[in-house]
Amino acid sequence: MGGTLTVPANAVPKLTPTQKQFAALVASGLTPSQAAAQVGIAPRTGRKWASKPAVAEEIEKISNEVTRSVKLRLRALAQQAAAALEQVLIDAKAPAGAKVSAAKAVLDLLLRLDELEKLDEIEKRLSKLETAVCGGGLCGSDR
Amino acid sequence: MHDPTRLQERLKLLREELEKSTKLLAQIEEAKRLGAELSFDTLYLLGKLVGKLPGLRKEIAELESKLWWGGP
Repeated sequence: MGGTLTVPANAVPKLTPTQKQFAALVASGLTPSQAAAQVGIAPRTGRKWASKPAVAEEIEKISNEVTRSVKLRLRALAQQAAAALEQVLIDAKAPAGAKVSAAKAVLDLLLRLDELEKLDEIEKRLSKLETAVCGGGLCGSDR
Repeated sequence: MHDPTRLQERLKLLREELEKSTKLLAQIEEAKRLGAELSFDTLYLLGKLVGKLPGLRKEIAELESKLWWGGP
């Protein structure tokens, strides 16, 4: 047996700290050339890095984390937005202005997110519970 | 042992809540399809629905825990 170690084909090569920083900058919205300038490498090298599978994977990973945290933040903001709308709805004299516009923008954004699609999942789980407790039909219903 | 009547009652309330939410979403989808701008009232209800979803999921999880695993 030889003494050489083989790297599995699917192993992800480790990124250097500069590459990680570069990936974070691209994930935050900079172009590869702009990110390259920020970390002090040539634009051409930046473009080359951006097409490397390991760097692309890191960019995607960071982007997903950012999206997730934005979703969480939006969910929290949705309740404040609803409260802002409630104030305006209740008080006819309240100045609608920027507050309502902001609330509307937040809720409009939420419509594009997948949070609401989870209602299907809730429906399936609820149906299973109803079957277990009420034997097939809807609980407390003659349907 | 859990009280079957109480469980049925909770499930009934959850079903009603879910039906209200599904109906609201269907109305929103229809309004969007027609290109209509959503009213403040609809957006307000949507905001409330989004705020309620975590609680709804938590309640379902609690019932699942009770029924499938005999949890508290």
